[in-house]
Amino acid sequence: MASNKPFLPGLDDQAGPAEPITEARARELVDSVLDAGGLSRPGVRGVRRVPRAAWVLAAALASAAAAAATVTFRQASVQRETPPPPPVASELAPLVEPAPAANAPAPPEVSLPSTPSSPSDLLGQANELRAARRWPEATRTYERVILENISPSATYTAEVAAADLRLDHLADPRGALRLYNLAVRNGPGPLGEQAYWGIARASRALGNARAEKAALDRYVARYPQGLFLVEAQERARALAQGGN
Amino acid sequence: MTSQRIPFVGADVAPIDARVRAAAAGDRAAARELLTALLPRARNLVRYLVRGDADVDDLAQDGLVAVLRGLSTFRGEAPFEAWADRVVARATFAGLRRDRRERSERVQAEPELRERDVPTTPDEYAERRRLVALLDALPLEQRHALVLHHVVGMSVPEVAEEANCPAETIRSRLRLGRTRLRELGLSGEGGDDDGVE
Repeated sequence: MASNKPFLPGLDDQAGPAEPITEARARELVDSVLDAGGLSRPGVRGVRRVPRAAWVLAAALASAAAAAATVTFRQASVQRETPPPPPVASELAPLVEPAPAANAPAPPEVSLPSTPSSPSDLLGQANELRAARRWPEATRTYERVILENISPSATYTAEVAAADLRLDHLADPRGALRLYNLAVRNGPGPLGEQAYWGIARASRALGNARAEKAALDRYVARYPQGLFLVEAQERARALAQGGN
Repeated sequence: MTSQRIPFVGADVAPIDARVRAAAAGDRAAARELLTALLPRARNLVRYLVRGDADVDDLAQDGLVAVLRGLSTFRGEAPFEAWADRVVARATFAGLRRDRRERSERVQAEPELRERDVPTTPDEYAERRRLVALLDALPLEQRHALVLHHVVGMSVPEVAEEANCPAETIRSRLRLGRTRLRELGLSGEGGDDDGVE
């Protein structure tokens, strides 16, 4: 027999049971969700309502751009008890710039502050370089953020962004794989999905079907609602059937 | 300008909020408004579902990212908040599974429920804090069944589908969970009628 008092209270506008947070904290959380969800801030190229196939190619860069521009989300919300160790320089392979494609338009010039004074400045600089399609410089700038280990969140964001650039623009899947693995090791974080997906992509580019299959299986298990779930499942099936 | 409404199946369901459509179309300002309104609800739901406060914001964010990404799939067959609750709950379960190992270490390190952990101030917030302190003492399966059924309002078959187990298992978890909560001092008396779904 039910009484008037519900057994457990429903969700309503009353406070609790979560601990209260400040308005500033709420804004920070929401901004991070918007960035991670692909709704970029003004001035940052975002990913909006584009076909799924385009997502697969662009989401990695675009969502990293959004996250890199803000340096918030999970790392900002929960300070790591012990910051991750800074990667050693040997973990970052030297850049080999690809030869420019024939008839490729020259990348636009970007005026940059000569000495960024904060992590967000440095990340902002990297973002601008990437938006200007200056891939090697953008990658180097992200990797400067990593090597200087300015903050855990900035390092994490830069790892994923630099990995994407190495994989997608610098033909360096091995370097990308190292960076994705660093990001996963330093996570979990808002770009974890992207990092796991990146590991699969980099492994594929390296021709390592076994590692790729393992990475795809991990991705599917960890992100059952993931952006790349269908692609990951299809690719994993193809590999399981002996495809390559 | 005429406001366009997405038709609903149920006549008694409120029209879909324009913010949902705008947010689904990529309007950041609309999405911000929507998520700001949803955030307290999402945080509260996550806190009902998980032990302790440490992971609430992370999991609520995961849930809201899932809501944001899933907006285009919202068809308006149910109130938006009810739909969002389910997305947040599902994302929370996914997050718990994902980080099961590290989280379980943290949970095991948490102290046993003690009298001094249970606030006694007789206001609503304190009452809810006391309630989740009691929920923290339950096995997760019982807790999740109770929250999905009593807090989110899902039927037993819906909870069973969500948990991927038979409805009778869910009824059993509900019975055991309610009994345990009453032993711990919960005064609520409703909720025993879920066997007649």
